[in-house]
Amino acid sequence: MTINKTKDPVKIGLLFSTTGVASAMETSMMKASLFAVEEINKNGGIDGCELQTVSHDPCSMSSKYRDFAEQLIIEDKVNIILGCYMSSSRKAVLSVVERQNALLMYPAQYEGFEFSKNIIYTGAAPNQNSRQLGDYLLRYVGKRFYMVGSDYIWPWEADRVMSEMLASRSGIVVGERYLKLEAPRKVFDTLVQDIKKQSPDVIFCNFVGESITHFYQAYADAGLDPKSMPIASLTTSETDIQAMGTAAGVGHYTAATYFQSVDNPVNKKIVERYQSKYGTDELTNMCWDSAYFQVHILANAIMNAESDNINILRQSLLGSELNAPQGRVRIDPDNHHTYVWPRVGRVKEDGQFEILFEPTHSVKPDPYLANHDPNGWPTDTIMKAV
Amino acid sequence: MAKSKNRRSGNTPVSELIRNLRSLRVLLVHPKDREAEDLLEHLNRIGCQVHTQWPPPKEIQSNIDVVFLALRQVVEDNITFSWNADEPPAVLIAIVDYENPIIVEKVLQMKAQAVIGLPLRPFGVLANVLLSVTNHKREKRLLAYNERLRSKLKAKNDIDKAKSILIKAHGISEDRAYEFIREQAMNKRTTIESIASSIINASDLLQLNLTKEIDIK
Repeated sequence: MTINKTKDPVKIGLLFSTTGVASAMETSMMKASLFAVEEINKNGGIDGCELQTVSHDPCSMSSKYRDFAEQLIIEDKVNIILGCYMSSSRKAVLSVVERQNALLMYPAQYEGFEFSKNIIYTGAAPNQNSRQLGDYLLRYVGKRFYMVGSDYIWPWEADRVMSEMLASRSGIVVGERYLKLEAPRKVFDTLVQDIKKQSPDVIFCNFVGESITHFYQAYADAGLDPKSMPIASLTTSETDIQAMGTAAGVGHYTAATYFQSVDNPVNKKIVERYQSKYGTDELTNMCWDSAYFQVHILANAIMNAESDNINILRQSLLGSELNAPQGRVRIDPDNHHTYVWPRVGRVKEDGQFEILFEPTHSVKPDPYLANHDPNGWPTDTIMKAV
Repeated sequence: MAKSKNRRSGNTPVSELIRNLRSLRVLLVHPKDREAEDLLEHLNRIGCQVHTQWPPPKEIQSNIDVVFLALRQVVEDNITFSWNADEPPAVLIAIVDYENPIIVEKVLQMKAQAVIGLPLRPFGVLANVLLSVTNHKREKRLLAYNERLRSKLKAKNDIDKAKSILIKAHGISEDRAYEFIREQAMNKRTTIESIASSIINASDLLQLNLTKEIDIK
């Protein structure tokens, strides 16, 4: 539809699971999206047109993501869907948006090696989180790694990237274990016992969903010490720390494009507004930030294109920039991913991250980078201690 | 048969080819249009080193690893594209928008290692490039191995023949005949195969006079 003539609302679809294994993170992403939509409508909508959302709960099941994506486009008549967290759900929606020539905006870090004209990726590619975390850990924490994670493509690929960095910098992998998404707590106790035996310098951890809580709690219950054997993750966020109980998270590392503690005026203002609406118990996190800013990027692009027809909208989206809570971001016209701000943080007593390292400027996405040999790193990834 | 591991491990290193994907040099032989632009953009996104050229070059430079070719244009517009299908200078990936027998026949004739269909879907280009480069390398390796076997087999036949000439002429044992050929090769600083073929040639010349004693000392 063309906006501005009829003042009809612009409808967008939201596909976040508020139930199932991914629900903790996706609920936060959902709230971020709705919060941004509300801000836009409070400020007069898109050129006077209200931004309306249609949501479905895919229950963390990829087949439901596919079905609901189809329903959103065909029955609810939306051209744009915002959503997905795990790669399996993105792949399910990818096939639908390509067939229907619709658009998915995907606000999560993932394993890279994908490009579609019908997707905008606003989370980190591996060159925007793995690389920075690996560099930090190898430099300051240790060389003996134990790899753990949920048993699917994203943790495997994250470990592959990390293993390559280790190999090129005389680090070693002393153990590697993947657990099913639904694995019960007692399996994590067994895993922690093996880790204890191997006594690595770092546990590189890419569990998602409830497994995060299980693993950090099992670690804490086994009496292990983050000072000598910290967990380092690309997924564990403020929201997960809150779910596991702050004490279980203190001292562990995460690399992400955003932490609630990011010190800039835009972030402070938005977090304050968000918490005055939902309460101070409602925390923000890396996917919250992407889910939030991508709505604003989208609304600006629709306004500039005067249309939500994706063939017109795409040109307006590509290259667009925004002062997001994480810093100024830009949609890369070359690959539809986003220039973001990779940071390394460590959990403090209050459950927030102390930011140890951040880049001097945003990092260009490089989703097809296979060789993460640090010798070939471009200078724009240089990090500065905070 | 290659056995694949049930569980993929992040700790299993990927092959050099994947790691060095970005050093691949690609030549895109395609008229300048939207499809060529999309493919060029995607190859750049993957990070290969890409050049474009149209009409096709007379000769593919030796530093090119992969050639993408707009096949229909070559067939329809009768454009000259010289390509030695039996000894290809690089990997050939055909870009096709027809799948009819005439076009498919051309793909087969040119012995393309892969096909990219139009309209272009970026997904699959990366895998096609890697697969065809791997197949091309394997084919080259197998051909070289084949050639080595062929010359080994010929050498073995020649040595057998030379041995039997010596056995007949001198009534010596097979081992002694072989030993003799080997000594000659060492003294003349040449290969056993070339001594064997000298003996065969000499014997052919003296065919009519075989009963006469040959001075082999």
